[in-house]
Amino acid sequence: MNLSKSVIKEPKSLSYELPQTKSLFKNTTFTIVLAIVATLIIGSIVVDSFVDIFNLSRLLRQASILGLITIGMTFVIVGGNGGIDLSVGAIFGLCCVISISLQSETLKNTGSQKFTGIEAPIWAIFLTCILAGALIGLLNGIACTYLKLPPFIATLCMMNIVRGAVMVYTNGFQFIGVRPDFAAISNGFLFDIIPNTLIVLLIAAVIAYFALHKSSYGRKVFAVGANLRAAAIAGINTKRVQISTYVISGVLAAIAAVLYTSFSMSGDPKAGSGYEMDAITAVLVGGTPMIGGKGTVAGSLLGLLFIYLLKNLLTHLDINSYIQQLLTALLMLAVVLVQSKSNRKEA
Amino acid sequence: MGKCVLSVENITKSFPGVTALDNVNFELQQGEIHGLCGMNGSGKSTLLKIITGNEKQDNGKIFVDGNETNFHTVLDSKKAGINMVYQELSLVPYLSVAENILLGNMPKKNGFISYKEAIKRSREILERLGLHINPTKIVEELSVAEKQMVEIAKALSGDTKILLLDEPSAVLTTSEIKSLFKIIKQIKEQGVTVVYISHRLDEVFEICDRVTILRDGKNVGVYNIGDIDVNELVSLMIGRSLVDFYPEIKSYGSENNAMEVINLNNYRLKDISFHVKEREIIGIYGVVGSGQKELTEALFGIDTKELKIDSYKINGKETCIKNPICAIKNGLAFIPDERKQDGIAVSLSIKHNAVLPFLRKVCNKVGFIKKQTENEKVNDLMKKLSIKASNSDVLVNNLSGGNQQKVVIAKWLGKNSNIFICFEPTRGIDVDAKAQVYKVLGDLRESGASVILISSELSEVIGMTERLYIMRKGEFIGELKREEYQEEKIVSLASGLEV
Amino acid sequence: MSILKNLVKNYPGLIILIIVMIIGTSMSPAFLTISNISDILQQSCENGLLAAGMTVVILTGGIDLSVGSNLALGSMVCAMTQAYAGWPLLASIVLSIIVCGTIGFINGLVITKGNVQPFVATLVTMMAARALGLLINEGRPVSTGIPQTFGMIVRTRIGTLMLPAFIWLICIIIVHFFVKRTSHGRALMAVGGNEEAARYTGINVDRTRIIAYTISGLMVGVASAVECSRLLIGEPRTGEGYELLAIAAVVMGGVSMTGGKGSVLGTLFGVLAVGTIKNMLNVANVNMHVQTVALGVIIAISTLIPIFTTYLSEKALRKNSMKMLRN
Repeated sequence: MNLSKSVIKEPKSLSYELPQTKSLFKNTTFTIVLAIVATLIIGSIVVDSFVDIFNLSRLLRQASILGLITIGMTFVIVGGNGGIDLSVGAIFGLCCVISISLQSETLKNTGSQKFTGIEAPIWAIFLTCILAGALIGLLNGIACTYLKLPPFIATLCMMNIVRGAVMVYTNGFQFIGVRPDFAAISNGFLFDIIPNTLIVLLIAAVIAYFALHKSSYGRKVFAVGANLRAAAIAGINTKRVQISTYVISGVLAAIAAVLYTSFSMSGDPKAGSGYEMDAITAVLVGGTPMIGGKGTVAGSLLGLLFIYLLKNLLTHLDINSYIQQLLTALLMLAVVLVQSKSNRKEA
Repeated sequence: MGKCVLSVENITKSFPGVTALDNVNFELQQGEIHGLCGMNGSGKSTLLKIITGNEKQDNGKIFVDGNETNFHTVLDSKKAGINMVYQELSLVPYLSVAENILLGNMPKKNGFISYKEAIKRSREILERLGLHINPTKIVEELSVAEKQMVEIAKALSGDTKILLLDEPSAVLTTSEIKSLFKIIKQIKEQGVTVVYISHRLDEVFEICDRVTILRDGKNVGVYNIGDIDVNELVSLMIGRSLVDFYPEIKSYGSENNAMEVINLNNYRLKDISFHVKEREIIGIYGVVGSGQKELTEALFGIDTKELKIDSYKINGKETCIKNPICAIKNGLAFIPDERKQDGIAVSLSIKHNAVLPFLRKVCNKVGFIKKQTENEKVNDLMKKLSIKASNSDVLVNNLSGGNQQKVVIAKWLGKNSNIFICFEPTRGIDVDAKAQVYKVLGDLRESGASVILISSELSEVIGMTERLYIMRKGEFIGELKREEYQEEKIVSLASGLEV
Repeated sequence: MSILKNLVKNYPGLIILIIVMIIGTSMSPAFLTISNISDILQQSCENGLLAAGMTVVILTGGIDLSVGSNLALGSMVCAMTQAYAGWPLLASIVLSIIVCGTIGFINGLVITKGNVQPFVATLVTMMAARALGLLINEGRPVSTGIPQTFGMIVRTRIGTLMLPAFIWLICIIIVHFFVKRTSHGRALMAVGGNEEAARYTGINVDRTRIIAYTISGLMVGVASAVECSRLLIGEPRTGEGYELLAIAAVVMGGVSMTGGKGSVLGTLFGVLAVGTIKNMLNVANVNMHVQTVALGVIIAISTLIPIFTTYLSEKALRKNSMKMLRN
């Protein structure tokens, strides 16, 4: 038979392509940058020394710690299929306690009741915490993939288990006292102005950016989040990819915790409470939808920055911190509603 | 001649790129069992969608009991007494049989639901059909056949005048089908009109009084069952294909088997054995529900539950395909029937979709994507497949169905797969794109690949393949070489008629 | 035998309860006393109410993470209206119920009309309700000013039991009755079991969901009044972890997280089971933090069990198919 086109009275076939409506405003990253700039401008007008470099520097020192957690949360949420990590706060608390417990000499001197007798160098402290974070992330990932538990239940249970275990170990008490070299990590400033924690965050952000947006691994994460079944059929090991996002989240929470312990010079088992919600808020505001398959590292961090700036501005304006919380919640509500509307359009 | 309970006149319905129904007339008489037959793409499902209020016709009128009516929603058609039992069962799994039958209409006493009354009423309905199912049983615990009976009872629980049964026997065993027929006859005795939609022509001949045949969107005949014989029915269904644009087969296939399967068994398939040579296109033809989906998923490692294969050789080597990663490693490619679910992620771009199986080829040693290499490769694929888009960053969601399917194929072209399992590859795409897909498959064959075309569309298996297996109820029941292709014979075999 | 099988399948909470009670009795003679059992029944009040509402929501295939924060808000409203505005008892309670019910209603709206996933929507309302509860009294608890008479409600005895035990039992029975015996209640089961099928029979799916979340909110409202009466304090930071406890009771009660399966009566046993476990751990002087760990483990296991049984039953179905195919 020959390859011949048919001669039938069929309506003209439509090989069309819808026009791409990519107005600049629909680009969420642009919107956030705009929001940040607006906040800075309003802030500088309304408040004295809002754009003060020292104010910002202190703000960034603290925000960077949460920024690490936000990066991890971005990976988990982009991986889709209900992906969320409610246990990051608990992992954070765990690693705070671990990192201070490995500085026994100092603990002994401050009269602490519990110490492990180990005096670990800084790199070992980091390594131990990273391993702990990775292990918990691994367990989270296995629960969500192999055991097929809904992620919010799996990580919610993990949060309780980890937080509870840490509280049992510490009896609810903070440990106080770190070595001076350890304290110097987060309390130092490069060139006297750039906080060390910010440098760590930026390095992590750059690595995360390349991993998520420029590497084959990142492509797999997006593919799994956008359509799990199609990704599996295309030969992607979806379980491995999903588990890896939880491991990343755990590791970043661990690193953030070590930095925080250095900054606060104490190991508080209750540390990190609520950080999971802050991270999720930042990720959402940053334009990453909860259904997965879409999102950016930069967006999440900018979202976090915006929230911090906004809170800072509102605090300077003497606005009640509880009103701030309410506004944040309402902001999240607005973002979530807008996102689901645009998702509906695309589907 | 009974009175006419439903009549549709001059119904026309088009979708982008295709006319589904072209001036179709269809009428039902009171109390008859009316068969509706037609091949894939004949317009059958569109006609049903219009009758049940799921779609609105572009032109034409609907008359119920002689009165012109308009259906805006499914509920409208239900109010008019038209109820359909779909292929996908629509029961609530953890409610009882009685509750499912009377869902939305539970009997009340003093404002509260009376279960006693519900059980009584549902028992009456079941008994009227000659069914002995306990109305208090939870639906989830019933067998598939029993679930279907409950569906029918549910459809009859209101004032149903017309009952549409869509491929009811697809999930039933032979003895269950006998029970089904008994029930249909009971229904008929109660004055309900039944439309029996089926590919199983043997059943149509057994149970129906009259039959309407659709082909290519037109009504090509309405007959009393006694006035037509099997061969005439089949020829009417087949007619003359309107599109003949299959690639020419230029060279002979090689002698080596690219894939050889012996006795593949799972929960839906029995003793499937076949082989495909290098540089060969074979077809596996069967009606919808004959087990084709299960076969493709078993071959590609997507569904390996209860799978037992005596021998699965790829290029002469015994392999074990546990998952798609294994399959792809062995050179397999899969073009699925539902591209939006299995083939592509609509929210990602062409580029992101296309490179998934061969990410390693566009990465450097560390794992980072080489942008230029990637763009070149994807643009090259887009050109080869004539994917119409301004660039490779266009979201797949914005492409037409045909172009979306081409992106699915692009994935495997880029991977240089050599065994292509294609399941209904041209479903839901326009004529031009169909031709292009066929051309691609033909080119693949020329370059040495093997293509397994699994489809329920007769014209494409006849036009494209060199050898054909015929599948029915989970088994292969015949193998034909190209010289032996005879449309009537193929359709009859697949439909369960004696040949 | 099949009655027993039926019981296990539909009311796993009862089985768990019996097992826990046996363990508890063997651990301590003080366990199976009337006063201890009364204790369990009375202490389970808040969880019982929250779990009742949570059941309704989960039956539709959703989840309500906002119940803890909502309860804090409700108890603040109850406390403040009495302490600062001198409202009569009944009016305060009614207002709390209305406020919490409204939060529930908003949940329903956001999920249906806003098309937001339940856990995201209720996560957000959880934050908003918490912020609101803190805001209305500037972060301070209401520690004085609530009339003693309000506290007497919770301490009123009927027989050996104090009022809270009756409150939640009655409420849970009412909700059970609602789900079992009204068409709106059946609609809940249908929507959670097979939304398409429900829609095809004319059920208003959106309205059904809104009703579910509103009921959850109303239950929270009652619980907030009880808590306020119990403590005679309005504490904006209360309620942390309450949602997890409620989910534990619901899951143990045999309600499936995917919706459409289970009963409020099952949850009743789940609440008793959770309450008994808590009581046991308290009596055995188990550290409160160990209890938190135990809670996490228990919920994880309880959620895994139905996943596992579904896996088994699907496997059985396939084996059956295979047999039929070869006949």
